[in-house]
Parts: sequence; C-alpha cells; structure tokens
Amino acid sequence: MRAQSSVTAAQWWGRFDLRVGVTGRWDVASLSLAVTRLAREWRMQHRERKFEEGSSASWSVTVPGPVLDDDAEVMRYVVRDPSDAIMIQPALADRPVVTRPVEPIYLQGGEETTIFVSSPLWVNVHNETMDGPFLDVPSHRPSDTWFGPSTMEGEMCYAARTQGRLSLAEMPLRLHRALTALSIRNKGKQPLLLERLKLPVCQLSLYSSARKHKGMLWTSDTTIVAGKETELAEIHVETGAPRHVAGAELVSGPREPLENYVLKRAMHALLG
Amino acid sequence: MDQFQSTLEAIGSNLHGFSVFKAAVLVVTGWLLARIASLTVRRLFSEHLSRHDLALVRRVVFYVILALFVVSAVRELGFKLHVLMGAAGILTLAIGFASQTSASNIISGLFLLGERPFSIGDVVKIGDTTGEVISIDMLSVKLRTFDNLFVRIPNETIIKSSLTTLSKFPIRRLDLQLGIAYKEDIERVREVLFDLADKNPLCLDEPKPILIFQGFGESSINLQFSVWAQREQFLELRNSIQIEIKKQFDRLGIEIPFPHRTLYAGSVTEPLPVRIESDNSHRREKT
Repeated sequence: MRAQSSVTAAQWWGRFDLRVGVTGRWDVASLSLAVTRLAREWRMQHRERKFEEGSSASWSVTVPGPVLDDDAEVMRYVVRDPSDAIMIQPALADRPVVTRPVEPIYLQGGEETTIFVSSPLWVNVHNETMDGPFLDVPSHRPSDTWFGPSTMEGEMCYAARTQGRLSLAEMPLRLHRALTALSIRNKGKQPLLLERLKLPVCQLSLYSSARKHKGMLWTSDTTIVAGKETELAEIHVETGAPRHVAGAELVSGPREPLENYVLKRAMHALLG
Repeated sequence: MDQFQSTLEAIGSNLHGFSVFKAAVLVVTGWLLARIASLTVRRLFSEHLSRHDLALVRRVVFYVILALFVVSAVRELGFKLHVLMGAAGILTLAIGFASQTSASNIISGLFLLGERPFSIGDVVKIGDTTGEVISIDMLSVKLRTFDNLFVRIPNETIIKSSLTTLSKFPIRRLDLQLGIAYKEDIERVREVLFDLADKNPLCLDEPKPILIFQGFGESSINLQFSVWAQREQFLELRNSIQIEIKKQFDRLGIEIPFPHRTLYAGSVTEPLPVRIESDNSHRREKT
C-alpha cells in the first residue's frame, strides 16, 4: 500500500498490519519513521527530515517500505503479542502552544471573537495490548518558548510558528497540524490586547473531520473569558466535538485529563 | 562545684551493671525506633514534600526520638537531669572555646536552612566549585561535581562566600562573545545570527535573542549575542548554537578574526631570514 499526501486521500494515521519481516515507513512533516515487525519484536527508527512548512507533500505512508539509515535513532521492543497490528496515532503537544495573531488585535469591552490557530502534532506508535505508546515523537519539533510575566515566573511552552487568523477560510489546511477554534470573550470594559495566546493543548482532545476536508484534525473548542474587574481569566474546554466540523470523530483524548472543564488563571498566564 | 562532685559520687555509687544494660537497651531501641520513624516519614511524604523538606523532617523526627531515649537512658544511669544540664552548661562553655569552628558551622547551617538559598538537588556554584547539592548537614554541605567528585563545603564558608544557584529559575540566558572582522556588514551578521537562533528549536522564541555591540576591539568588532534556553537544555544549546554559528560564518565567508601582531625586529637585531619556495619545490617536498 502506498498513500501520497493529499487532503482528499486516506489519512496517515490509523491501524496498519505489518507481517513478520515487513517495514512500514511514515514521513510526516519533519519526521521519518520506520516500523519493522520482527518475530517477538517491534523495531522502530526515527529521524528528522528536511521539510519546508507549506510544502504540498506533507506526508506519505509506504507499506512495505524502506528502513532508515544507520544515523536514525533506534528503539526495540520485545513483545509477546502475536498480533501484526500497529497503531499510528496523532496526538497534541506535551506542553502548551503559544501562538500570535497575524497582527496584534484589540478586543473591545463586551466583544467576543474566534481565532483559528494551528498547533503541531506528535506521532504515537503503540499496539492494542499496551497501555502507553512505544514512541511519542513530534512530527515537527517546534521551538521552545517562555510564557509568563517575567523570566522568574511563567511556563515552558512551544512556539507555534504559524499565525492565528480570524477567518477559517484564510487558514491553510495542513494534515500534519491540528486546528483549534479559540474564542475570546472580553467581559470587561477596557479593550483587551491579544498579542500572544497560550493554548493548553495537553488538556484538549483531538477529533478528525469525516466529511469536508477528510482527515483534517481539530482539537476541542476552547473559550477564554476575560473577567470584568479582576485580573483573572477563565478557560472553558468544550467536551463535545468541535462546532466547525461536521461529523467529527474522536481520535485521542487529552494528555492530561481535565477534572474541571472551567479553569481560572491569571490573565497574564493565558494572554500575553 | 561541690554539688557537681557530689553528683559524680552519687553516679558512681548508682552505676550497677543492670542499669548500664537497661540504658544501653534504651539507646539501641531509641536508635531503631528513630530509624523506623524516619523511614516511615520518607515513605509517607515522599510524594508530597520536596527532597530538601523531606530530609529536614526526617532529620528532626530522628533526632527528637533519639534524644528522648538518650535522656531516659541517662536517667536510668542515675543522673539527675537538672544537675546534668548545669554541668552541660559549663561543659558547653569549655567545649565552645575549643570548637569555635564547629559551632560556627552549626549556626551557619541553621541560617542556611532558614534562608534556603538552595535545596537538595539544586545545582550551585560556591567559589570555584560547581555541583549538585546531595545533602545539607549540620556542619557542611555536600556537593557532587559534574566530573563526579564528592566535595564537602563547611557551612561557614557558604555563609561567608557568594553563592550562585544555577537551577533556581527555569530558563537561563547564554551570552556568546563574538568577534567579527572590521570589513563585515554588522546588519548582515545580525540577520545571520537571528536566523540561526530562529531555526534552533532549543533557543527560546521568547524572551527574544538580543545582539549587543560591545565595542571596537584590537582586531575585531566585539558583539554579544544573548539567547535564552530552558535550564535543562542550556549545555546542549551552548554547543549546538556555537557550532551552527561557526559553520554558517564559514559558509557565508564572515571572518572571525584572531589577534594580529606585527613583529618589529628593530635596527639592533639582524633582519629576519625569509625563504621563498616555488610551487614546484613545495610539491617535490610533499611527494
């Protein structure tokens, strides 16, 4: 089976069957991954590849495919499970992602807006019998960034090098990134400056669109509500499917399960 | 003094073999119970307390239990506690003069615990020594250096000298000192450096990198390029970004000059011998 990158083609993730001695090869954004089924063993190789953001061929899956060169990182897992099935799953980043609107925006008091932001995906490899994944690697290693009021107080995040947009139509659709509809509501009287936005992706679920733009990945809808007088902001994570996706299917749950779907945070901890 | 002498005589008359045995049993039992209690504290609170706090609580529990049993053992031996305390006062004074350094270390240790400039597991720099704190004890702090040496630093030294805790904050700035040739376009160099920082995933997007013009040096324009990194990735960034800068400068022909010296032999010395080799002779030498 050989699948090439295309918005309408089959997706790069899902269940794949590899018989003993067969290698499957996945190239997703900057990641090259080769999974080989051996007798009682899974052998995985991965390394970075040259990839330009915006390139049309963002992924390819080749089964049977070639193994990677010796310079790739190798991991071997001994298993008793005789199954040939391997699951390749997309996941959201393991830290919050910071994004910027194309240009800083002021949100007037009492107004609400939705910004569409995209965040990088991680690739999980696991089989049906294991609790945790064999491998959890980024499809594109984002740059580290710091989000906080000072260099002493804040949180390590990833910088999304793409920019948030106010219209979904302007958003480039990429199968190696996940889209989020982030609503911001300003309950206060003063205008709110939106310069940097922190998206807590570890607490969001991942959905795929089954109809329009099949295979596109979306996260749970999220709303940030800036308080009236206080310096506190609330973040609401919607539990259902994203509202902009018709026939959304759950792909994976959040990395850090949310006990409370409404979190209160200091304003500077969400909006920079 | 008479009272002290009479107490000692009383002790001598009361010291029977059985009492000594009972006191020894008390001390051993106390030590065992203190050890068990200390281990239980570790098991119960290891998830809730930091390594530093856990070590502190364990030490307090251990010494309080042991002290209670030692006091009981002393009573069992026939000592009167109030008299003993009085004697201990005099003794402390005498010992105090003899062991000023130890006392100073103990008091410094208390200040260190109160001020808490670092905890167990932190990486600190004290004087010329940099290492991970593995224990904070009554007299000294023990460090494990990165070349895996065990270093004991007296508490008094730490209080007196300047101390840097390298692992206090989650991010650190790396200041790279660069020299470029006078002929280079600084704006172009600036673009190259910022582009490299942008492409290196370990280099933080925020706080942004900065380029500081340090001045006109003897043989180069001196610049400081400062980038931020996560504390744990600091060394990796320090290596990777400098290698990338060198490679990129070489690729783009940006010169990193080294100090130039003009040697003047003067009229007193003989002229320096100069030998000119032709290409052919050079090739012949090589073969």
